[in-house]
Amino acid sequence: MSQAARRPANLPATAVAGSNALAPVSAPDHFPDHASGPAPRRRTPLAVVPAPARRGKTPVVVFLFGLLVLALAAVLVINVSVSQGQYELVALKAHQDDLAKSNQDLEQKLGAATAPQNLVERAKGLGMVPATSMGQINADTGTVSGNPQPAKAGTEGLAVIPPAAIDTPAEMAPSNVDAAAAAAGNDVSDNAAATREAVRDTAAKEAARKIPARKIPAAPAAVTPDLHGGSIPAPSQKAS
Amino acid sequence: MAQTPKKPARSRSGTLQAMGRNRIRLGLCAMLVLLLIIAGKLFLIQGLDAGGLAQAAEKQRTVVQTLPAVRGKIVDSEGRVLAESIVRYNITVSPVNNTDADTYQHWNATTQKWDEVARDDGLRQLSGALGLPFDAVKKAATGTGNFAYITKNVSPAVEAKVMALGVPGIYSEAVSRRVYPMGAVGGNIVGFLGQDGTPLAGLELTLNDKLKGTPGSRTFQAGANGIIIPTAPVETVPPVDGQTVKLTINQDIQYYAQQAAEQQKKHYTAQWATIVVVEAKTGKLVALADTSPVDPNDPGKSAAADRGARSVSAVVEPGSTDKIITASAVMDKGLMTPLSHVLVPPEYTVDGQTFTDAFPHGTEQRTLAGIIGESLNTGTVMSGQKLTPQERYDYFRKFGVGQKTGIPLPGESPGIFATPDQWDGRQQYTILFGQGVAQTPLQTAMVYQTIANGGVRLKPRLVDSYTSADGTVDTPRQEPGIKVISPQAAQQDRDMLESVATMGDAPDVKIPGYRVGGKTGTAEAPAEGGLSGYTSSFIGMAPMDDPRYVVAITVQRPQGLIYGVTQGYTFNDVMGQVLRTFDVPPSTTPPVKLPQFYK
Repeated sequence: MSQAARRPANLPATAVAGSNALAPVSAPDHFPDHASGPAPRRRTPLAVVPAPARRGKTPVVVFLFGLLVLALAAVLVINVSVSQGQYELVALKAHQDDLAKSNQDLEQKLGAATAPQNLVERAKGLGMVPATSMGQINADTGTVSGNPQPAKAGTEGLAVIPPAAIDTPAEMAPSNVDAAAAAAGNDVSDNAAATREAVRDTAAKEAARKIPARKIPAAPAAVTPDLHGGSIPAPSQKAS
Repeated sequence: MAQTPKKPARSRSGTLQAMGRNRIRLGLCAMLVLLLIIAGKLFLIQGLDAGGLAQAAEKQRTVVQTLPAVRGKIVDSEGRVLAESIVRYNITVSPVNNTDADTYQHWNATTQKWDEVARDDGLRQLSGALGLPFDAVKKAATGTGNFAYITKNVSPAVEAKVMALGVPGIYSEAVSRRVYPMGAVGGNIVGFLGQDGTPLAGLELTLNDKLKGTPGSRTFQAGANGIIIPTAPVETVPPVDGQTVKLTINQDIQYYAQQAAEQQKKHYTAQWATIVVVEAKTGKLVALADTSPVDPNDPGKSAAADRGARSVSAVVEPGSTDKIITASAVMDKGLMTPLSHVLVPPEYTVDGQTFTDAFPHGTEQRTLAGIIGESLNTGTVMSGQKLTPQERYDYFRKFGVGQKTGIPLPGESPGIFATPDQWDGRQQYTILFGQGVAQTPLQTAMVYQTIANGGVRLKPRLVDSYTSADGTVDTPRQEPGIKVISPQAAQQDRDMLESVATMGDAPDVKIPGYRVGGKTGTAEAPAEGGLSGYTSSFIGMAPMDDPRYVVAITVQRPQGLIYGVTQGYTFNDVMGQVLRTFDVPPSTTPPVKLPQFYK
């Protein structure tokens, strides 16, 4: 009805709302006799109603099936990509670990190279000697103060401090650190103790060669007899 | 006939029907009972004990992993690493697995073929990669046990090489290890950890709370086979790494000072030596050097007594270096000036106590500067007795004698300084020239810091700042100092100290271009059952126009004639190095030369 209402007035109304069939034009002159009488109920004239275009059911089924396949495929793809992502993540994490490790290694090398002990050693290797005197240049007045002298070859540096002992300990000898730790009241883990036990033999020779074993004097045997609160020992009793 | 069979048939079918019905009923009943049981059980599980069982199940699946926090670094004032934690590997072996494999297959990447490798060859390659003797490696890998170490603490690069060899039964385990790239440089300050990671010494011990961080955790659910259930929630509490501690120590100066201390110890066959370098205006410790320093990477190599910092733990009689406290007190009280006249006899007796000097002299017309300049005990007692014992005590206390400085190093000693009521007849005078009182080398250095800093004693600082894992920097504020003497008295002190170098008994103390001042000290070293040997020291500051650094050298029990022992050259070397390193502009004013005698 609304469609009909929206139609321009000069267009003929359709037979049925929504149909394209035109309603037969009312022709009052065909029924002149009734013109004067009361308005008779008129039958809607018969007209051919064209059947709506039939759509096949097949495309719908195909579409739904396709949708299903697509959805499954999507799930599969997402799943695969997620697990792929996981693998990638693991690989990247491993890569990150490797980089961190090598970075650590490089930093350590840098640290070792910048350690003053090693710098002094290298400078000595290049034939450098410490300067023994110094002077100052005043840029404003252009004067030199102090008594600067050129360094002389063969000048000895100060006492040498050994470089850090890092990454040298390959020996599995009972290390003195353990002794230190134990002395400080810390339990050396059983594991480490067992390990030391296991490898002591193998590395003992080596250790003996590398570090002269520290001689720990045995605690003197207790010679004080039990005085039972007195100041002199009681006479010993005859064994019965 | 036709009916007869029909009847029983009918009745039979009736029975059958009844039987069928009964069976159906029975079946139905059974099913219902079963259903009831199931429903009941379901009700029991879901309705009554739902939480408990679900919890138990979840508990069974839940795995909590600890994520260790990385221990913070310790760096020097320039950010150079003194201590850090790194990943290291222990190479382990399952001897039974290795011994059984006489030969094994190894993929050769160059020929793209599997090589047949004999066990000995494999172990030889392994020993080569590890840099260990073949025999030792083979012995460790032979046996029937299931676990042994081949070696410990190899670098990731070596571990990668070892694992690439593919020797059967050889495994690696990652461990966190503390390394000290500078080794013995600053080792006594930094300290070290035990094998199990317990801090045992130095800043590692005292700053453990800042360094250790907070371990995190990861909670996830895993099936019986250990596979993580992907849809279950994973809860991760990230670890908070320890803070990076930045010290005030300058590694270059620390190294130089340690060398210089070692040199002095060797030169005089001394027991030990320490050198303290302090920034006068901030109280920052630039160096705390010890002889026979400990390498924290291998502390076991050092004797237990050498593992601490003697500059804060050793208690020695300061001797003449404390005379400046007496001079400060009388000048601060307005009782004397550097040019006050004192007629000093060859020996001086007061209250029955007789005092003499280190060298024989006649009666001399000395100024106070002259008494300090030649370090006269007699003159110091004559000047200092103008103070009451309580005043003497108060000034010494204000200069920090007898109190801990509060430096974060373990084993700091407050020194030994009795209250006046416990002083005996002689001690009340001997403390005026630094005997009968014992101080740590750091305490004595801080006395000179006070004088260099216009009479204000600061708290020595070893830690410059803490940097958290998230990058926030926390710099502890410098506490306001304690005003010990007036700025005028401090200036007079400095003039007298400079005159020690220019006019007094330390002419060998000079650094070209800079005005320097300082004071020598010699005291008898207390030992078990009396005194044995000497403690020789020199404490000085530079540049005197506006002192920036104080260097204190203490040498314990130098051998040889004590009057030949001098720390002057060592002071020149160390102070020269400090002034050069920190680009201190040379002095522009003429040096002060206070007359040592009056006419």
